[in-house]
Amino acid sequence: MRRERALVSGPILAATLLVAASSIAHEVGLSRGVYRLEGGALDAQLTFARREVIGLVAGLDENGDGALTAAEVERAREALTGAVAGRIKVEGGGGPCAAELIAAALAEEDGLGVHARYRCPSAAPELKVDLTLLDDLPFGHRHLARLSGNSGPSDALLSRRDRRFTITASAPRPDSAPVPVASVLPAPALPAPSSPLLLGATRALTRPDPPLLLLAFALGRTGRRAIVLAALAFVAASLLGLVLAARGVWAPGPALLGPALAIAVGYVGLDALLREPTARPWTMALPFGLVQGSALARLPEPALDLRGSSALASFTLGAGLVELVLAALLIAAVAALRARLRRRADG
Amino acid sequence: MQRQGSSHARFVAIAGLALACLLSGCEPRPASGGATTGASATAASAPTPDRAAVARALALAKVEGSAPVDQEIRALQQSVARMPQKTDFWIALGQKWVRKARETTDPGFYRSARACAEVALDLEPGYRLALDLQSLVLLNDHQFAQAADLARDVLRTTPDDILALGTLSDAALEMGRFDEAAEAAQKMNDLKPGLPSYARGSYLRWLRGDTQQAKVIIRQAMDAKDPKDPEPTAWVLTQAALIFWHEGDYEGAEKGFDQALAAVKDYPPALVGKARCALGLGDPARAASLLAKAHAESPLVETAWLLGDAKEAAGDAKGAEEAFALVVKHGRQIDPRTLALFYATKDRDVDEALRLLEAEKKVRDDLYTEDALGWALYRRGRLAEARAASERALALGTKDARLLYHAGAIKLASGDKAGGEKLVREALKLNPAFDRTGAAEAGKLVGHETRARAR
Repeated sequence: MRRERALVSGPILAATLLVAASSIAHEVGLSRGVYRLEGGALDAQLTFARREVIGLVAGLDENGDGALTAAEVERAREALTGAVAGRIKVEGGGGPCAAELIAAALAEEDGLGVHARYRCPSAAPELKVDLTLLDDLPFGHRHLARLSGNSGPSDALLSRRDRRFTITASAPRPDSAPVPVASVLPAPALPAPSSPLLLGATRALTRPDPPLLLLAFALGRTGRRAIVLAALAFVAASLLGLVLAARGVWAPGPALLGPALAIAVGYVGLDALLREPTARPWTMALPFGLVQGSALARLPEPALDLRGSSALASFTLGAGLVELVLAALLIAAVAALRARLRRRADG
Repeated sequence: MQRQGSSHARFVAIAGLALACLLSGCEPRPASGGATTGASATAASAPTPDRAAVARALALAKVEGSAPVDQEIRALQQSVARMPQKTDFWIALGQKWVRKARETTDPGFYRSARACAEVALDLEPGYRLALDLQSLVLLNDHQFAQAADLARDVLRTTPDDILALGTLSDAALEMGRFDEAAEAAQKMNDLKPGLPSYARGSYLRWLRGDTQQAKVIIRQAMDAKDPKDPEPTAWVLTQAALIFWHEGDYEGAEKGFDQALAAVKDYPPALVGKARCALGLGDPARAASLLAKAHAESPLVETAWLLGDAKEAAGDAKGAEEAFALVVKHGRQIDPRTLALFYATKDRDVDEALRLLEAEKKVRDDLYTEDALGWALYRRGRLAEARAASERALALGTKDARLLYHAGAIKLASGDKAGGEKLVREALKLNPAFDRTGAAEAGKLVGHETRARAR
């Protein structure tokens, strides 16, 4: 049994370390943003170090304790609109584009996320963006901007001296100075997936929760048929969740999604461990699959618009195929391991 | 038993799974919300590219311009693009970013230098030159203790690492460890005498109050300049000129600043130095013009303060207010010690000054922090503490008129009339234009009946 424990917990420990190591603290002096032009509006997702944004937005840290709470951020929406969203000047489509703060929330580690949208007088193929915000941040501050157009993303490093860029619907183009670094980046070892099918497959492969949840099902004490049914139900629900989230019909909020997935994994595991075998484990797989599907829809790079039916279908197909293969592999691996251990125990 | 063991294994596995999920929030990277589309599913957090991608983006940021350093950066970026596994290319690129930061006085370029060190350390953990680069960047970020620790680590394995010795000397000095700073600088000079070691030696001598020897050594630093590398030349010329300014020799100092400006056009530290001379020579309008130019290039808090003083002296009250507002705004962001000294000097927001200085002392405990603390305590009327801090500030015998004036005023307020007046007169004799506010107050203290100031 010690061997089984080692075999099972080894990869889990590795996965834990991998995931934990990938989190990044937000640096003072460096902010990041993802900019996407779609339908005549510019979507900007910004992240700052909390300590820095406290100095930027008057009254944000109400009690002056140097830390931010979700409530303080919520109450400072107006101030954040003026000091952050409003300090990014966007022009195109016949005039200046109106800034709107969509959301602001504490981000992972010590970050603060701001989501702003800029609606222009009319749809424009390109917009000029001026981060006057950089005048308010300390001299030397850098803003790493990812400009997303249909041809793929490119990066731009902006500073107070070079704070403007132009973004186009088809191909992002910088105005001046320290802009696209992508052009001088060494070629990646693997080509980035360009089709929705590949993107869906990559997304399902690179997220930790699908294999974790499927492994938890495979470790259940029920029979093989029930496990296969549960895995299939999970994949089906996951794809349904993906479609619902991508269509904007239903998706848990970002603050809920992480804990919901953690609870799902924990619950599935504890259920398999503590409860008597049930004939219908798939009933449990459905809600958790739905939640996991919502997470799948949250693209790491907004280079792909999933609102189009064909793109969504391809993306879903890619993710579904990978999940099915993963399920088959994990179930087979656990079964083989159990059989081997049983043989060893028998003789 | 087997059943129990199996259950236990599953429990361990499942607990691990839940832990992994909780640690990650099950969101490996970003929450862009891009594909969720609806406003209800809006994520406020932008995608967080992994550290390596961010480091590479910073290291490989495109540079415009035709200065030699820009050309060198572009060439090295092409080299690392061709051979990304070669750590030496990343280090060379990082060193060029440091040079770019120094030449432009834009600290943001140190971020790119640090990124190069990170990439190099990813490729080759513990690589000494990458650690040197990293400690240099930490020093610039005012993370003095970390910079010193890293430099000491390097020196444990490579005792003759010149860069690590320089970083250790600078960091130790900022932390108030004068002897350690002097020892590192001396060792640096023994191993490789040159501009960096001479310049440090000169400054340490000056801090000790040995102005004559400081001048001799800075002359050696100037002789060791590399004509192909103008920024260090401009820097050492500026340091030399400042020694003369501290002695009240404004015309002599201005010549030095002019030489620095000839080496590097519009070099901000030299522009500021020249402006100090203009203030000393009674030409605040010219000083304001020089300071405005310097501030546009390098918006340091002290430059904004001087700009405000110059504008005030030139009769531009509104311009002075605007400059002082910048002192407060940027001081809170990047330079709390200078802001605290500004508050104490102008006798305003003294409680905030004390808060800032108490925090500053945890990371930077040199004689100038002690001086600022002493002055803020004096303004608050806490004379015994002020006197102790002021004595620590003057412990090395530094001939800086501001330190002398503060010490004198504190002594006077404490009832030591003779000792206090002597120091205040010495300050005014040494450098009568050391600070617009301070010099005016000092004049009043010794020109009129001195009166203890206690609150």
